[in-house]
Amino acid sequence: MTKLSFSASSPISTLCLMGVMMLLLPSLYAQNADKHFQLSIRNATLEEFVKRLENSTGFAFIYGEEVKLNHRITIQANRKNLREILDLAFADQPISYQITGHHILLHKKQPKPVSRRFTISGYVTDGASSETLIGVNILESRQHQGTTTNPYGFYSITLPEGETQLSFSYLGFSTQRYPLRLCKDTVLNIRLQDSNLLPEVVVLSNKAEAGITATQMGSIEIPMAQIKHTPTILGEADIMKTIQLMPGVQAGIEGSAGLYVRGGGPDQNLIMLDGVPVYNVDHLFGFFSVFTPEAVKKVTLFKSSFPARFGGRLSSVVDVRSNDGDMKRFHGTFSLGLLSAKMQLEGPIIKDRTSFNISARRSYIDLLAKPFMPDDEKMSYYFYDINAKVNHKFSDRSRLFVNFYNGKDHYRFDLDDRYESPDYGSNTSESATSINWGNTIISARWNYIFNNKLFSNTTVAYNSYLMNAMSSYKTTANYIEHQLSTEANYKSDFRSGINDWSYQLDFDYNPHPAHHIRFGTGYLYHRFRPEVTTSKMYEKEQDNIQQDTTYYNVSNSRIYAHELSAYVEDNFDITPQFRVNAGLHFSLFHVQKKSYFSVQPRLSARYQLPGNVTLKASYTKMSQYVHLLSSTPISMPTDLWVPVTNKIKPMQAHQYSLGAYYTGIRGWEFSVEGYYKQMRNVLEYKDGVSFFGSSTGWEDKVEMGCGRSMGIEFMAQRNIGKTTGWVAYTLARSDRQFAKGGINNGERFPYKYDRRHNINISLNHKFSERIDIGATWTFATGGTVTMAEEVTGIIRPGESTIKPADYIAQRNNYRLPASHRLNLGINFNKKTKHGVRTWNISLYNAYNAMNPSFVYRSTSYGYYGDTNTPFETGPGKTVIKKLTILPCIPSVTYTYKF
Amino acid sequence: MTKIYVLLLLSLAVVITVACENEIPFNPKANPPKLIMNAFINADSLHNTLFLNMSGQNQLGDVTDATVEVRVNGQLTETAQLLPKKSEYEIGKRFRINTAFHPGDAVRIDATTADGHHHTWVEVVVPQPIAIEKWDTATAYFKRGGFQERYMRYKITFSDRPKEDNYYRLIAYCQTNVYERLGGGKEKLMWTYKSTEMVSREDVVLTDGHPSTSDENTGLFEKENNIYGIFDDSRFRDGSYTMTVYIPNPQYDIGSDSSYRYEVDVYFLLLSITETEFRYLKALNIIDSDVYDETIMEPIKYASNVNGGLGIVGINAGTCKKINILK
Repeated sequence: MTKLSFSASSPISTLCLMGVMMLLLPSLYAQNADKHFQLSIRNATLEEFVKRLENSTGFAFIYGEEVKLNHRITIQANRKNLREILDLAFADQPISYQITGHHILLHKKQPKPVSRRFTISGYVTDGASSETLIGVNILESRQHQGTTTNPYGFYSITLPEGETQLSFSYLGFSTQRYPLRLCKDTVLNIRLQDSNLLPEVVVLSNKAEAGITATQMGSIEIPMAQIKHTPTILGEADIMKTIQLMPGVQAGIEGSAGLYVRGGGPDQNLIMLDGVPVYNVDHLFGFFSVFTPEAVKKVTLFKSSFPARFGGRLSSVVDVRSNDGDMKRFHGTFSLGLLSAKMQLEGPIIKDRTSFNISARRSYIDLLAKPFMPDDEKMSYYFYDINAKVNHKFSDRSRLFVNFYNGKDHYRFDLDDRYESPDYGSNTSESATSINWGNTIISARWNYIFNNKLFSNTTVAYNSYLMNAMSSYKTTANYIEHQLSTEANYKSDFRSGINDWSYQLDFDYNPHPAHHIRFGTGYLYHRFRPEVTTSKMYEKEQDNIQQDTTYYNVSNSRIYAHELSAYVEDNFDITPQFRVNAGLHFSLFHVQKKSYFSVQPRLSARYQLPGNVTLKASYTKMSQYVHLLSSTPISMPTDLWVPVTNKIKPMQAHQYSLGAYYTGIRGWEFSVEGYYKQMRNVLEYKDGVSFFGSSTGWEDKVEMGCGRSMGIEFMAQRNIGKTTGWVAYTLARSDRQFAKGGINNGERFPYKYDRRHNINISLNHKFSERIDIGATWTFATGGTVTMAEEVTGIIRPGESTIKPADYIAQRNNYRLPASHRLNLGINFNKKTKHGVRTWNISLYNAYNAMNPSFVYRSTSYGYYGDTNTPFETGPGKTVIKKLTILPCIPSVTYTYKF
Repeated sequence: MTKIYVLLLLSLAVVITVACENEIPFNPKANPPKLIMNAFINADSLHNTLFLNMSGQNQLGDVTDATVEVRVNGQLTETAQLLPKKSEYEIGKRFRINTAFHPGDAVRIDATTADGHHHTWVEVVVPQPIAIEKWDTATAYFKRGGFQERYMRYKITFSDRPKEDNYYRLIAYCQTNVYERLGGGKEKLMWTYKSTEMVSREDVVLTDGHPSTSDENTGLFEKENNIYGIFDDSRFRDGSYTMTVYIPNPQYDIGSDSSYRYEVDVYFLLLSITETEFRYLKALNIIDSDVYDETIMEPIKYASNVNGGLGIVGINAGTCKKINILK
C-alpha cells in the first residue's frame, strides 16, 4: 500500500500519479484483473480491506488521505474478479477507483453535480437617464447563451448554478461585464454607461428579434442615429424616409413618406406607436410623417417572418417605441428648421421613480405669411404633433406608462367681401372653409414581472383618426331702394374617420435557456365613422325667418367591428447552431353579423454555419381586415379606412423567404434575402370609378383579386467606425390579377409600384466631434402608370355623333423613366456652456434630378371635334407631362440640446 | 465664407424656380386599329342607330365598308341599313336598326368589315322595365345660383325588381308646345320647346348618398353631378323607393293674347339599363361634370361590352309617365 499525504485531487498530484502509472503499467496489467477471487470480509476498515485485497490479488493500492469510508466494508464474494469485488466494496461509499497496470487508484468520489438552474432577470437602462434600453444584447460567458431585452427593456436568462459572467452590450454604450456566482434566482438591473468613444463592436445575442443573428429574417432595427442624420426634405429628419432606404421598401411617389413594402400597398403596413396602431402617419399630403425622431427611442421594421404577436396587415410592421423620459435630470432639445420648430423636454417628476417626456412640433409658414395677406383674404396651413409620456416605477416589478399623442393638419381659408353704394345699399359676405385631420392616441401600459421568468405587459388604448371639414357662408344685405334687409347663414360640417378601443396582454416567458416563449391576447373594438354631413341653413328677410333648418346626411351607416386575437410563439434551440421560431396567430374579425376567423402560422429557422455565415428560412401567413380607400397616389385627408364586409373578404398573404448572412468582417454585415409573396383578395378599383371625396358604395367600386411579389435583396451595412451606413440593392417584381372579365380583363398586370431595380446608399461620416456629414443616393426603375395609347370613340346618350376619347388598353401599361436622387447634409456641432448646438445644412435632390411626382397625358392640338368635324388643325400630338414638385431644395436647421 | 453660402443658396433658389413641368418622350407602340361599335338602343324604339368607327393612335379612323347583323334569341332579324353620311367630314358609319326588342330578349349584334379583318360582336339581354307606381307634384321655391326660383318638385315612386342587382336611369324633360288658334276649333303647332334640366341634389339615391340642399359644394372636393340620372338599387334593394327631383317651372307668358295656346307636359322615363351601361355612364358623369383631374386621379377607362373590339352597346327598356302641367 502506498499512502500519499498530498491531496490526490490537486492537479500536481494527479499528474505525478499519472506519470508513475504510465511508467509502471504496460507489463503487469490484465493478467490478474480478470482473475476470479474469493473474498469474505466483515466490518473492515479501508486499511484492512486494502491490505486484504493486496494480499489476495497482488495489486497495490494508492490513495490519499481524503479517501475515507462512510461505513465499514462487509462483503462475501465467490468467484468474482477484481472489478466486481471493488464495485461491491465501494457501491455505497464515496470512493471511486481506477485500475492502472498493477495499481488501484482510489479517489474521493466527486459529488454529482446537481442540475440546478437559476434565472437572472431585470431591466437594462441608460445609466445617465434611466431610460429602458430595447434590444440590449446579453451574453453569458460559460454556457455561451444569450438573450436580449424586450421592447420594455426587460430581460430574463436561465443558467446553471455556479460561477458565471454576463456581458451587456448596446450600440453607443460601453459594454458592461458582470461576474457573479449564481446560486439563486437573481434580479440584476443594469445601467449602461454612454460611450464617448467610437462605437465598439456589439456582441450580438442570437435571440434578438431583429438583425442578422436573430431567428427572424427581414427584420431590421433602424438606428436612431441613422434616422437623425439622414438628409431629408427641409431638414426634417423622418423615420419613414429612412425606412424607405432599406431594401424591399419603396416610397410611392417621389418625395412622399409612404411605404410600399415588398410589393404591398400603403395600407398593408402596421405602423405602431408604443404598440398602438396609427392610422394616419402622414402630414402635408404624405410628404412628412407624424413621427418626430426626438420622441422616439427605437424603430424596428419587419418585412417577413413577423413575430406572432403582430397581425392585421399583410406587408410590414413598423414598431416605433417612444422615449420614456429621464429619471435623473432635466434636459431637452430645441430645433428650428425652414418648415417647423420642435421642442423636446424630459426629466424626473420624482427622481428615480417617475419621469416625463414631452415633445412638440409645429410648422410655422402660416405665421410668417399671415402679415402679408390681404385683410379680406386669409389662408393658413399648418401641422403639429404632440407626444407626451409619463413613466412611473412602482417597484422593480411594476411600471406604468401613460402615452398621449395628438397630431393634426389644419387648413383654413377665409374670404370676406363687402360692397357698398349710396344708391344701392350694402352687401357683405363672409365665407370660411377649414379642414382638420389627424390622430389622437391615448394609451396606458403596465409592465409587471410575475417572477423572474414571466414578464407581462398590459396595454389599454384609445385611438382615433378624424377628418373634419367645415364651411360657413354668411351674407347680409340692405337694399335702400326696396327698404329691405336680408341675412343668410349657411354652415356645413363634414366628418369621417375611425376610432378604436383596444387592449393587449402580452407575456414573455423564459422557462428554460433553450426556450423563449411569448404569448398573449388582444381585442380591438373598431368604430368606422362614415362620411357624415350636417348642414344648417338660416335665412331671414326683414324680421321674418324664412328658413332655419338643419339637415343631416349620413351617406354610409356607422360600422362597428370586433377584432379578437391571440398568439403564442417559441424561440427555441434545436442544436446550438439551429434555432427555430415557431408561432401561431389567431384572429377573429366580426363585422355586419359576419365573422372571419384566421389561423396564421409563423415559422422561421436559423442555422449557423462555421465562418460567421448564417442561413435562414421563413414562412408567414398574414390576414388583413381593413382597407384604405384612396383614389390618388398621395395621402389625402379624405382617404378612408373601411373594414371588410359581407361582400369584401379579408386580404391574406403567404410569404416564403430565404436568406444568407455573413458577419466575418469586423463591423460589417452582409445579407441577401429572397422572398415570394402571394396575396389573395387584394383590392383594386374598377374601371371608371372614383373615391375622390366619397366612399359611398365602395364595395361595388372595387374588385378582389390576387397579387404576387417576388424579389431578392442585397445589403451591406457598416455599423461602427467613423463611416457608417449601408448599400442596398433590390431586384423585385409585383403584379396583380383579377377574374376574367374583370379588371384588365383578367390579364395579369404590373402593380403600380412595380420597380425592377432599386439601389439605396446611405452614408454617414464623422470627421470629428464637430463635423459630420450624411448622404443618401437612391435609384429606382420607374413605376407604372395607366396611360392611354390609342383613341377610341365614345357615345353620349341623346347625341348623334361619336367623339374621340382616350382608350386605355391595359392597366399600368406604361413604365415611367427611372428616378434617382442625391441628398446631402452636414452637421456642425459645438459644445456650449449649457449644451450642444448643431447647425444642419441639407440639400435635397442635390443635382436637381427631374423625377416625376405626377404624370399625365397631354395632347397638344387637333384633338377636338367629333366624327362629323373631326379635326380643326390635323391629328394631335400626344406627350406625357411630368410634374416635378421636389427639385433641389436646400435647408438650414438649428438644433440646441441642453 | 458667408458670402459663399449665400451665393450657393441663391443659385439653388434659381434652380428651384426653373424646375416644374417637363415632357417625357412618349412613343407608344403602334397598335393595330380596332373596330369600335357604339349604340344606345331603346327597346321600344324601331329607329335606333349604331355607330362603327376605327380606333387610332391619335385620331379616330374610318370604316370603309361593313355589315351589321342583328339577332334576337339566336334568330337573324335584320341586316342593319347603312345610313348616309351627314357631312363630308363624317368619319365612320351609321346603321339604322329597326328590330323591336322585348325585355328578356338575348340580343346579339355582329359587325364585320368588308375585308373581314375586323369582327366585333356584342350580346346583351334586354333588361326588364319597372313601372312608375305613384307620382306627386308640388311647387317649391328652390335656391339656385343665389336666387330663389320657382321649381316643380316631383316625387316618383317605383319598386325594385326583386332578387337581382338592378341598374336604372331616370330621364325627365319638360316639353312646351305652342299652338296657334286658327279658328273653328282648329289649331296649328307653332313650335315645341324641350327642357331637359332636372335637379336631383336632394335625392339620396341619385346623389349616391350625398344629398345636398344647396348648389354649394359642401365637401372637400368637387363631386361629379349625376348628369345622366343613373342609379342602382343598393339603397332600396327589393323594396320601393320614392325619388325626389326638381324641374324648373316652365316659362310661358300667355298674356292677353288668346290666339296662342300653351301645352306643357313633363315626361319621366324610368329605364332599366345593364350594369355595363351603368358603369359607362358613371364614368361619363365624372368626365362631363368637369371634376376629373388627370394629374392626381387615375385615368378613367370606359366600361365596354364589345367583344373583339371597343365601344359599348346599351339596350334599355323602360316606362314613360307623362304629367300634364298646362293644357
